Amino acid sequence: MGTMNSGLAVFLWTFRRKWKGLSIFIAAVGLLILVIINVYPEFSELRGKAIAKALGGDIEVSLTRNDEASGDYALSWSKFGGADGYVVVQSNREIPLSLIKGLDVPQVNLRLLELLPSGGTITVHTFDASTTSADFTVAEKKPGEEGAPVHFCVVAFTGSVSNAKIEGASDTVNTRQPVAKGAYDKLMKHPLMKTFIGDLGVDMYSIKGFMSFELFSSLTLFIIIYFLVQYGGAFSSEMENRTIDLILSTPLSRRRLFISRYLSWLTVNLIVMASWTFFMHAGVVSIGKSAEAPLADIARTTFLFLPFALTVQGFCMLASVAANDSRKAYGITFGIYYGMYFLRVVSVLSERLSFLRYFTVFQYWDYNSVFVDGVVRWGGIALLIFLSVSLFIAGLVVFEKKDLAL
Amino acid sequence: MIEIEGLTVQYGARVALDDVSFSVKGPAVGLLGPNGAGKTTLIRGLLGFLKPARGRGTVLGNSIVAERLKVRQLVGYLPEDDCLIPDMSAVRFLTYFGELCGMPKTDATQRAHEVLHYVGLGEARYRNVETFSAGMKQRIKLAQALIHDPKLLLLDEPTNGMDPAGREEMLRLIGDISREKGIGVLVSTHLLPDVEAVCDEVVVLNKGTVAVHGKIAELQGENRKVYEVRVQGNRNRFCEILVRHGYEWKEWKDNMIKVLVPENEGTAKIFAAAKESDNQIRHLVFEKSSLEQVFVESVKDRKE
Repeated sequence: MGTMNSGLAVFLWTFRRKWKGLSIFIAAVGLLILVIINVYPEFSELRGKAIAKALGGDIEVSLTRNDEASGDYALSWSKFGGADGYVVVQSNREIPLSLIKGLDVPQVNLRLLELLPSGGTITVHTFDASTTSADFTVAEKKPGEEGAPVHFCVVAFTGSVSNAKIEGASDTVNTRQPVAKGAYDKLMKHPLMKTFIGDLGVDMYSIKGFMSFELFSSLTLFIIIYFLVQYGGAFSSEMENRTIDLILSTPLSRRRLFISRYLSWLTVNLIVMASWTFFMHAGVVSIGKSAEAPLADIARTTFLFLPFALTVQGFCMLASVAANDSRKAYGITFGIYYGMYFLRVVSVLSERLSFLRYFTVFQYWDYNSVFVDGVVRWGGIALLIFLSVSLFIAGLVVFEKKDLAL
Repeated sequence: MIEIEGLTVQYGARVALDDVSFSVKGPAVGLLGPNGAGKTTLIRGLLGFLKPARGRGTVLGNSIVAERLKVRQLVGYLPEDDCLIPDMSAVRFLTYFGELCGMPKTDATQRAHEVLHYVGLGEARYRNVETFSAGMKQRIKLAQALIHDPKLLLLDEPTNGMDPAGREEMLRLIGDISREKGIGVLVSTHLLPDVEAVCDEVVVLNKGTVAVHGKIAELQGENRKVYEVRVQGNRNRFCEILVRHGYEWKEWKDNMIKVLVPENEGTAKIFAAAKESDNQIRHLVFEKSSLEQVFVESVKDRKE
């Protein structure tokens, strides 16, 4: 009876201590969910059109090669009404036109175009409004070098180069072509986009695709940040300020303390997931899309977040019991997740290093397939459960073996 | 109350306790020693926070390794550090610890009120603990140690940071706990008068080993026959004759010596030695040895 009381006291106390923070987190994320879902109708109308427009060309561009031997090219373009000037972006690899136009930045320093991730060399040339042609000399492509030998993008702008508004653009690939079928998919599969949003093979204009894109990707980050901040130093801060001495001077075993806290955090996880389900369903109902994104699908996806969240919890607890001060514990957990995120980015950007994605937990939680396609990849889920159980056991063993030295 | 045999505790390569052995019956035992002597390490070892490299120990008949939880059921601990949990009222704090000790919430709450009144914090019981003064923090830590009605208290520097009035009150409480409530007390402190005030037995630690151990009355008694003596004349001759009489002497300050006289003898031989060596006794004072002298000498001996 006594030990049951002590375990329950730890469970409830841990929960109570974090109740304020949890309430704020739930309210803030809930509000965000409602706002984002209510943006969907406008997004599907306007943003969809804007991106579709961005994928096509606005200016007629023609490129001819004057001299095969020297690599001299003549570029000409049609006049764009109202433009204050033109910028020609020259690259030895193709730059997706959508990257220039589709980002929809109202004011931009056109010199920043040099920073576009083309994987090649970019040069930016500026011309006044009266110019509609220019000659370029391009270094010969080396044998075996990949990519287009030369790629030009013509951007019509108003304002100045350092504070320009992009009015229209075309390139030597997409000149005044209609929006090609599958162009959107092409954009989504670009490494740069995949870095930010993952390998999203979904239609973003459906409510499910939109929620997957705008909500679940963010919620993954939120749950990581929330647990790192709230629980990253839970044990280590107590070791640091010696509160752990008082707690463990009672007849409470370390195992019971650890398990009680774990269960308390697990409950927090479940509450968070239930709140997400509630807010998402409320949001979907408020825009009249509950038939397309039913409650069961939302609930299944949010609760299948649990294995992923438990790995975060497991890393937090392990670092927290292993480190003797909270700064070290936070450093370890932040480092692990930052490292995994870095691996994920690298694995997406480089085909050669794509195997690195298997070393990140993000690889195994595919909310898109669960929510959008209705397919649960149980292999990934099982792996996350195995990892979270392993982390739990490792944390418990470390805590039980640890000397609480001076 | 506590039995330790060959206890050795190491922090990596550093030996914090080296082959410590003693047995104390209480009810009130002082644990003395300079900083770094191993007092807190010993208490943490008794609570099972540290794994001994060698040796064994029992607290109230329970092994400090195999029966740690049973030991903690019977022991209350007042740590040296300011380790209270912020954002908790005093009564909530104690109720929580009562629950951690296995008490039902209602019993724990009732007991929390009782012990808060006992330690003199009844008026402040709904204040958050982080707002307490240093003295109040020591008292609530004492209340926390008492919450589950233990049989033994391990008090690590219980009067640390307290003003004289608070210290006196704390010592009165500790005395009351050991004498009136029948709860054993182990007081670890560097304030020797605290030990003299409440303890009847002392263990002096130095550099991780037991320097002195015994009943305070006996330890003081061994040194009761100490005289401070200053002579004028041939002091060396005087000292030689003292030794011949079987007396020990030690150099002391201001050209004085301390003469250790067997308990059943008086000062006659000191005067005889002075007469025989043609010395005049200019100063002769009987010195009631305090525990501090025992402590200083034992620690000094070890250092030498």
